[in-house]
Amino acid sequence: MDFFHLSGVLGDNSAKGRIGRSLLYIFIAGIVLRLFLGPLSFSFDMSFFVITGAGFESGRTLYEAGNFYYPPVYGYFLSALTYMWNFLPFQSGYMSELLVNSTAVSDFSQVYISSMALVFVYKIPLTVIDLACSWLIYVMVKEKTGDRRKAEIGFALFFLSPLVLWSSSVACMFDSLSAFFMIFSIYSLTKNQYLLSGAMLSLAFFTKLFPIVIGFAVICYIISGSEGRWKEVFKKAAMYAAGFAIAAAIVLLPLVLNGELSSSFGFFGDRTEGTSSGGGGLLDFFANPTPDKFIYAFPIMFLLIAIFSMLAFMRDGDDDKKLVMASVISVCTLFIWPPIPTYPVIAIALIALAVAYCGRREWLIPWLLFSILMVVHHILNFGGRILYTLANETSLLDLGSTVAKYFQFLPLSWDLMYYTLLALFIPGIACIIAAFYSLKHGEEAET
Amino acid sequence: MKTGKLYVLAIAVVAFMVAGQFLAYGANPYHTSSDSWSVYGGIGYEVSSNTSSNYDALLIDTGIYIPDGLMIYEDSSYVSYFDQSYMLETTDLLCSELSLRNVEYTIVDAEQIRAELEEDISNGSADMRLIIPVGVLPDTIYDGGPDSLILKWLETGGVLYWTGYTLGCGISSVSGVYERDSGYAADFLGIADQDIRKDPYVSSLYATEKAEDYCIGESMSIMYNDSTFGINTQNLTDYISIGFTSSGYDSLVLAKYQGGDGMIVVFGGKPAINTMPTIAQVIASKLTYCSVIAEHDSGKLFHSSERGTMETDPSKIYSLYIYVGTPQIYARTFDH
Repeated sequence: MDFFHLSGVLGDNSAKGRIGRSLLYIFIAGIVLRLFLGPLSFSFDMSFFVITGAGFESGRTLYEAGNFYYPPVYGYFLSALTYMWNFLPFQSGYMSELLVNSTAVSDFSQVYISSMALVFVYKIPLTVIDLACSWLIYVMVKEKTGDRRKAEIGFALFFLSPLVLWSSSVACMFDSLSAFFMIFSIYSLTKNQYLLSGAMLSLAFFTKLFPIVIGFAVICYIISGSEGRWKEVFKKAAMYAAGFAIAAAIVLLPLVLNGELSSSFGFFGDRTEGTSSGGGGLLDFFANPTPDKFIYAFPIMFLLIAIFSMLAFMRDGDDDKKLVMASVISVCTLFIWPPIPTYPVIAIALIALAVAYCGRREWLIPWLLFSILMVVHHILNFGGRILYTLANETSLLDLGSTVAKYFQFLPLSWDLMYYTLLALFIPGIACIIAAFYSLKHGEEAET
Repeated sequence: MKTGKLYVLAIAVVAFMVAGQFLAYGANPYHTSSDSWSVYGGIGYEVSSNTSSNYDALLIDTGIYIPDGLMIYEDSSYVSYFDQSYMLETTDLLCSELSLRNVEYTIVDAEQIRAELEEDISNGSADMRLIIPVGVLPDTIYDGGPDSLILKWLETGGVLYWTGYTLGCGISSVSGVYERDSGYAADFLGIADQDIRKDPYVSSLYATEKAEDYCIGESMSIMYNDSTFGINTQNLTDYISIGFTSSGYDSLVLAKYQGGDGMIVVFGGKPAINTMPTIAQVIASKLTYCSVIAEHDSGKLFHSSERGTMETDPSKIYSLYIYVGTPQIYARTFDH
């Protein structure tokens, strides 16, 4: 309640009150949309979290049950949540023989259908994380600009983004947590809290790796803010690195003690192996841009990120805004190569800041493209499978015919996915254009 | 936001994360257990858990005696069709799944298997079961001839769990894998070679029709459909098929050894991380080729205990298999 009070919700007819009500409406709209999407979920991806949770319940550690393919931070959250969920009398899901099919081995993940109760309960913390990230964006924009309306726009751009809604409410993915830590890091850096900022970037990194690319922007920010006083640069950088290292030590200590350190970095290998090998020319390489080929494009991206970050800081203007712009360009550059569709949630968070705080409206185009194209591609990828829980537990749909229709449309989905996968280059290209535009016309929006 | 509030927020988030770490790596707050005892005319059992989980108690008339212990074959110096690091990871998971089901196991290499099998044969009975998860038999126990150690061991009542390739076809050594052209199916199951699928690098076969004893698999939460190296059961006599079938090949078959008292359990797929729980489930339950599910109780545990009784026939051999959770977080077998 305090949150809305601060926003002026309790004011009646004043401008403050109206603006506060806008925030409330955005909040309600976001919650309603999430509730509407609630019954939909991709049980296949959920199953890995269910197996991990069951692993905890059987006395095993995060990576011991063999089904957690990410860095550890969300796994620790999952551990705490599993403990809490154990006090709720619901079943996590069912195994259905209707899902046994001729295209895959029928392991637990293939035949699992999450229960409606789990689907809703599981999404509560993800919604809280979405809200926390949106709120940080709101607070930062409001503090920096003093403009509540801009802050609300920033809040809405994240909380109501179709991609964020999809990621946390249907795909059941935790990319928002990574975004939250990253925004936290940027915000605390602008408040000269180097230790805290480093720690938060570390947590973001050990949630989903990608936020580490804002490191160039951070270095440039520290150098730029020190105005050539190298002693100060080293002092700030040391504080930042110490924060990063302390958080990393906290995160990694149990893994080191249990010999699971290599498993925690399996996330990277798991997504860069597989189809990335093999022959074919350059045309084939680009014609089938699966996410695992990202590793080949990374050196170019790395170079672009470094160049863009430096260019962003070589201009005149406010360092905080330059940090945001360098960060958004860095993260978006990472997604030039078509990613797994939920990954750009962290880009959405930064774009929200770029638009609302820095006034860079050109970034609304990448926001729209990420929000729409990633979701469309994922819908084709998931297909009717997101309806299985609904079909299994309500009379609205019949599970057997829903499964049959999924397989009936699978060939068509694969054909369409070829084109939607290629279309995932478009947001990245739009980002590059927006980056050039922002760098060229930097001062116009800043003033 | 004031800087102090920023730190409070950070500490709150980190505290939640650390709580999760502590629960996963330090506290282990979850407890699930079971017990079983004899009562007049039958058996009693109790299962308890401080989690929110479903449970199943299966009284299995196994028909034959099955030893408790298990040998897991793993020898990185012997060639197989699978990457060594992948097999290590897979075996680790199998061990983990067996541990939560209270199955005692030992990992043996090619020489140790030879010693164990020789000892069993000289004693006239097998006191441990064996799983070969790599799809090839080491040349220390199998040379392709009828006097091979593994066949003698099966004759004395050994139990072999098999996955990864065509049963009995591949013979592994430190220098490579030799494949028999013919006769392997007859040696192990007394059937023609074409009744064991051998199409490893061309296509996987994932079966979709329920096999004839699928209800047994279903009662154990087993849905295993990999028939890539499946068995055609048409010419088998003593067997149950609890998985799925396609093109005449069954995915999960438990069959009597053609030349003696032993049993061969064929999981018709390749070793995979996510099929290890299924393999562990079959091993832990002590299911046999002549098993009948005599009774099946199921229910819900919510920080609670449940008790039950089941009628037994004193002339039969039973194993009571209790498992908790989907996926399983605990299981235990009681011999009666």
